[in-house]
Amino acid sequence: MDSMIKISRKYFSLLFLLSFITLPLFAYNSTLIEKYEIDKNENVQPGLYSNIMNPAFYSFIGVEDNSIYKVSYLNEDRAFYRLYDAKSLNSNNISFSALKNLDSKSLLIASIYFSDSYYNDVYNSLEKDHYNTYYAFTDTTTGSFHYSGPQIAFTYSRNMLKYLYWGTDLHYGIETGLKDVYTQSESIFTNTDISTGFGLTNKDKTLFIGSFLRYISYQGKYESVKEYHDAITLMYFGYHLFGWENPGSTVTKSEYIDGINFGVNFYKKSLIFQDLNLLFSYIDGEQYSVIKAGSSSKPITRGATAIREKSFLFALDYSPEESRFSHSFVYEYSTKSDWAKSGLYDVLILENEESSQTFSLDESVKLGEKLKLRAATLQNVKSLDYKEYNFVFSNKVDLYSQITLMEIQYKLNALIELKAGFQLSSEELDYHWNSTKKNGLQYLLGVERLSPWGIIGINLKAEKQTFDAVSGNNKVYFTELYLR
Amino acid sequence: MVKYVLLIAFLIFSSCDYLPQKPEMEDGNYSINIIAKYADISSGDTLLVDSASVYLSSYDFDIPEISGITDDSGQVVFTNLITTEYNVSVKGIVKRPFINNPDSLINLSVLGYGNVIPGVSEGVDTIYTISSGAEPGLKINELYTVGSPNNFFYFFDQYIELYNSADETKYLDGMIFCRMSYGLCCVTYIFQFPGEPLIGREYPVEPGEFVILAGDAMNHITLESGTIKLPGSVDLSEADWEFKNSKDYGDWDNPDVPNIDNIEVGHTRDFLISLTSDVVLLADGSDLNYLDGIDVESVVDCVEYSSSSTHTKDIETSVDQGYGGIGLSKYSGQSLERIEPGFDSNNSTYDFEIIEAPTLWYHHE
Repeated sequence: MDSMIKISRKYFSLLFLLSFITLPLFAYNSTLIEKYEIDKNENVQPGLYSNIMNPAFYSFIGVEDNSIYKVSYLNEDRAFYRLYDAKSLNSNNISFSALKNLDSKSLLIASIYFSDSYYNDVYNSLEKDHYNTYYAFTDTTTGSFHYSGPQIAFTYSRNMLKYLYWGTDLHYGIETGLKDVYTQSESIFTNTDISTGFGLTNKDKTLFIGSFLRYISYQGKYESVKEYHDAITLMYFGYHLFGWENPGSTVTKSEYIDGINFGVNFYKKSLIFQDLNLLFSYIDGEQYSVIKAGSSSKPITRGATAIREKSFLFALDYSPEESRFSHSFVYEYSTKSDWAKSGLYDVLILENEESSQTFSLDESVKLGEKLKLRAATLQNVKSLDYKEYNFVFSNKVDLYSQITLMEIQYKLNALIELKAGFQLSSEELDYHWNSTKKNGLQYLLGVERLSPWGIIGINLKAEKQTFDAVSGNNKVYFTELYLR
Repeated sequence: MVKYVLLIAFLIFSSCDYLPQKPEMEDGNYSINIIAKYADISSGDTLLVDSASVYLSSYDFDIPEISGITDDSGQVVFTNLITTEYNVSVKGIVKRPFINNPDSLINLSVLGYGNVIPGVSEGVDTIYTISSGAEPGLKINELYTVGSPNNFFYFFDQYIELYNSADETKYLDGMIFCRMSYGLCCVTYIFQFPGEPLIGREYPVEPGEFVILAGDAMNHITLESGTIKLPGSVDLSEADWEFKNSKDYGDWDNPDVPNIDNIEVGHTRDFLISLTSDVVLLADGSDLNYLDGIDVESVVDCVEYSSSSTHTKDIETSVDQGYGGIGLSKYSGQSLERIEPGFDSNNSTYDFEIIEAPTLWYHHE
């Protein structure tokens, strides 16, 4: 026992030392990477894996071989939206993900995901997400964009030694976009995401203490071209001040992002009593980006941004297999601090401080062999403190949002299972909107059927969104067909 | 031992911040201090220009022009500015003795231009003004080169406007008009007015007169007998002169408009210049040997223009210190004209400004 403790301490301190010694720490914030899904035991909280972000954890928790094929379609029709948002959105997605236990100690997960989206009637902006960048590229026309591209992901996780787990994660994605009218901006985004993690466990495998390091690299390039006259584009510096780029045959914008996440995890099975599972997770990261624009031969640095993000998560889950009840509770506290500077001079053009607290509770109860009820709620308070110095603008506000879900699952027979539910949501909006609050009502309908090839399922979601003091509403329809 | 390892590791981690350093200075706190002066060459005096209007403008950002008035010490301070390069222009009046009666004073309009660059310009920036109408004579006053709005690449409505800013009549006889590249050594096109250079008196330009030199002297607003219309274009059918290459048999020739003809052997094309970046030059015609370039002493006026702020300067600074036209857009109907008729500080960056439409035979307000 003493020798075991000594070994554990040795690896523990080695792990921590390696984690701390390294390297620049940057946060990860990408709109490209979609977390691939693993078909999990229904009692395991779905968000657990993404909250941990440590690839070593997969071989610790143990998941059976499975695969899932999925095709989905999303349609959003907006009567009310921010100035630079699309008026409507259509997205077709297809994905495949497979988990295979290579042996008793290791597993491999491979996923491929392809997205084909149309963002229709976007006013001036050439950005896929105008409000996610401080240096937005725009032109002078309203047009529609077509984005498409694949993403692939591989995860390898292994029980290296008796008490040591190791895993690595690799994601790569590429996406291209094209505007249908002048300036017919073409865009191309590539994203590389590599992480590696370690974890230590105890003799009875009820404890996981882990750490991971993750590096991301992102490049985005936009190219606007002339039609009969020179391409005329603008660059925003913040959300108010802009400058005209020199008109030319081709005007480009490039963005380069590098970032690293570091995190530590603590997971304990059966903490005080059987099946009470506890998770602590701390993630810290920094990210730096450089933005250039102008002619393709002589681009000029327009600015740079830096982001520091921290997240602390605490989760409790109690879902015994023999019990009718299942409970889970999650609390997350996160902070984000970012700033942007001028490209040519060493001055700060804006800074932003955010903090967020999220509470979520998820309760399920089985009524007999066929019926299961689920109720969940998520409450979030976000504090924003945004200041622009090049325009003299500031916005300090606390925003509250909540989601409440009610769901029924019913086993019609040995082959077919039905699911129905609804979700109420409300979200206070920031200064980009001409409304203070958004309310949503979503209906969900799902069917699963056991077949010779696996479980075939279909999910349908329909949501109506309304806005305070605004007439008209937004409609969202989502359809998903899968085989697992 | 383990305790110490963990402690050291914690200290290393907690002290680390690998992000690039956040700037200490916030934008919006930049100050510019301008002193306007006038150097009187005849008397050698340097005067402070008080009550002068000073304007700041920026190429980098779409911000309104900022203005101020100099005080009694010729100074004006601008504060709370966005940190960027500013173009400074000064317009004022100085009282100087009248040349024929030193006891009486006349008001002399003065203009001055400069650039203020953060980090380069320190403390006070002095702008030296010059009186308008310096170096009077024949000037290239306006260049209309980009073409009117159209979707079939039509830019044959180009013209150049000359202006006589002198108090005496000037003569176009034998003068040459050139398109240059990379310097005075390199002539791309050379066309000559009829008559004897330097001594001819057949083609006068009176003081204050505008002269239009058309690429094709026709009505470009209505093309092909009215089937195609370009409302943003110009009617050059009554131009004063027309560039006509007698070796270009397809070149348009208005019989009612006198021609400026090509004199380069083997050149068979019309006088067409680049829509957004070129050099044009007017010389007195004393040097017609274009093979070794144009003598600088024969240059009457020269203008370099480019739409790009990162353009590499072509012509020698002795004939034009800068280049005008930054921001010109092809097929926009824009034109490039001097800020005042005939105003020439030998720097097209400041002497010219973009106007939204051409102004034939008059100057924009």
